[in-house]
Amino acid sequence: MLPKEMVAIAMATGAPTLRAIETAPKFKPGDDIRTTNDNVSTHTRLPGYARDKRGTVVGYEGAHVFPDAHSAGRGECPDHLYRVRFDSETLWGKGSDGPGAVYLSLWESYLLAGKVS
Amino acid sequence: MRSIADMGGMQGFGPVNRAHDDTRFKAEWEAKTFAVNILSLAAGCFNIDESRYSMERMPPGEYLNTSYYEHWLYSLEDLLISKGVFSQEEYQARIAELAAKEDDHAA
Repeated sequence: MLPKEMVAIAMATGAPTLRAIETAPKFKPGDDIRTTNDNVSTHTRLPGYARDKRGTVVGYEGAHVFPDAHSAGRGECPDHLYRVRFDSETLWGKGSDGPGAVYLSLWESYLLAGKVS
Repeated sequence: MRSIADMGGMQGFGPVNRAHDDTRFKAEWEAKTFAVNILSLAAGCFNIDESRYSMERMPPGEYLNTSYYEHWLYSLEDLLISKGVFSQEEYQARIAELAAKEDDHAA
């Protein structure tokens, strides 16, 4: 329970999800990745439009509470989180809004090593 | 899950109208829904990921026909009842009690 005097601080800072974990991150900035194509019927932060797509890791954000587990009562199960860049055309196809990119924060379990033919 | 909440890339809804980007509360119940949600999170009644998952499971037709804070209200009711903070019966009884009070004031 949040004590009354902490409410203003909690509202200003939010509830951090950064956690320390033992395993080393599998990917580093510059790595090509492909996202998984798992048809999960529970909560996930991998949007449908970004399933089975190729992208590039552009940043590492530390290990964070894994929403897929946390939403289903399986605990925090922290996992490495990366900033991943996707070309617009990769996600939306030819004839969409033109050149551009979409950046998503994605957990390691959504990512496979790229360059898969 | 690829629910109705996972709309990125879907077509047929018309252009995104940036002029409607007004994030202020439009009614008092919206502010109250927001406040009770945040306090329930702080009190540990449920976590933010359970809240998102609950909204995703809203019936799709209803999801499209309701506003942003109605989605919040839906998940708030769903979680407080499913987590046992109060029962569906207690909730309905309280609604009836408040409605009767309003009728008295109106009479």
